[in-house]
Amino acid sequence: MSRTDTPPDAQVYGEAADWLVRLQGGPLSPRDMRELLAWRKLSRRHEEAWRRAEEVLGILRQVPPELGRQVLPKLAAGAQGRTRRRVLAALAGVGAVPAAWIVARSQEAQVILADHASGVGEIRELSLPDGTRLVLNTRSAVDVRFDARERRLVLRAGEILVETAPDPAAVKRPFLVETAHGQARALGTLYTVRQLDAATAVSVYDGQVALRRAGQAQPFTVLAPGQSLRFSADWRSPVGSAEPADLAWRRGMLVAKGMRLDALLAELGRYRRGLLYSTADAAPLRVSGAFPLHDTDAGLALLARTMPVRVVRRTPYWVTVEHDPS
Amino acid sequence: MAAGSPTAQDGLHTLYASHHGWLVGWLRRRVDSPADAADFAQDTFMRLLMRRSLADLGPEPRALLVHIAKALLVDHWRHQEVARLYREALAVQPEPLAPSAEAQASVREALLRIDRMLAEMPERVRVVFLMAHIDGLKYAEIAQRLGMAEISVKRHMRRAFIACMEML
Repeated sequence: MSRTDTPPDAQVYGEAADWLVRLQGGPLSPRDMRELLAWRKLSRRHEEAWRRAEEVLGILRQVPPELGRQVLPKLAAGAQGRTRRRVLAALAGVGAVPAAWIVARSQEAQVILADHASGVGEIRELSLPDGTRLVLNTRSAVDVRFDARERRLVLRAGEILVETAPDPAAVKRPFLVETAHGQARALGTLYTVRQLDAATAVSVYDGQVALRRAGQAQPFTVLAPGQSLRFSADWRSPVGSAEPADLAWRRGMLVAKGMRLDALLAELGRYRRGLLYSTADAAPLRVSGAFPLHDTDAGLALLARTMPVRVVRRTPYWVTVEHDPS
Repeated sequence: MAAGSPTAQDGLHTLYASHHGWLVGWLRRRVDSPADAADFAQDTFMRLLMRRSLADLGPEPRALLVHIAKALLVDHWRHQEVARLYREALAVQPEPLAPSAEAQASVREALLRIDRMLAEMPERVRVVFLMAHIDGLKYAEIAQRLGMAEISVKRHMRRAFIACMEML
């Protein structure tokens, strides 16, 4: 762990990354090399950024390609089930800690350290102290922050289905789900909240839910039953419909009606480890059917039988679905 | 360093006396051997000292201790997991290349660091990065396979490399 007194700023990092992207794209021409050399000499921060860039290349090169091909997709897929179960078993029931003490930043750690978490492919149902039913979809994590004033869930990753119960406390406390992008406040209700990379998706099946952006005092909209919406700090989708079929995950099924293949694989991919995607020519194919979530391989086999596609397994952790008109 | 001043040392003594036994007990329910529990407890206190002056520990030092201990445990198990994956991969290498113990240690270390880098990348970025790095695919090929523009592939690679550099 080496640090200098002049850490490179984000922009210099970005420029160093641009050079790495060019390097990865192919050998640099002599002219590019000169340009790179000149860039490095711009300042000590540039030199330091490049030192790190070279360190990254060095670390990547240390792993022999054959070995990397086997190990890296498994690393990318996150901790194995055995470890995860062990971690979750060991850490279950530990109370909340101040946010300033969050040591680990990755989503994997968020899942492991949360009050309640589900593994890949796991769907967990539990009851909260107030009687509310909570269902965690695959790879989800939630912290429970109930106090005298409010009932707050913090969704760290993944998706939850909430079925609120009337508050048993003498003074009725509001029920909130907080995400990275804002919060959903329930007004007596059945709804789902999903934390995506760039947005939060909310679907309402019963009752109403008020949505508020992070840092804002007032809700920007209230969703009625049958409505869904995605939003982030500076964007919102048009109001869509909340389809009861979208709740089939609660029963361990995925129901597709004319769904694009790439969207279907993205959904199925949430329930298994490793990489799962379609090639560009197969992506727009439309799929209908019901797929079991506890056995996504069976679903893929079903696809191969019923659609003009073949399933190519590079490794158990790297599966592509390709167009096969024959 | 603040931990060297007399008051800080008193603070440490009090902290140790009041919570060390409790923390070891907490850890013993989670790790296999009592010796491991003692080691993790020691590391936890050391981390605490390195991270904060003892004056602002807040009202619930045990919550902080548990939080640090949890991070140490997760890190430890991740180490073990990476080592296991590496052993498995070595075992099925086509010919017994038998790298030396030092070479193995440095590959294991590299894998751990790559593991942390991958953890910092969003899924899509990770896929692009692995296709370029593992399969040695050209940007145009990745673009075609994933049905995205080549410029997007480069943007993802840029993000991946930034994540890599930030992990160092």
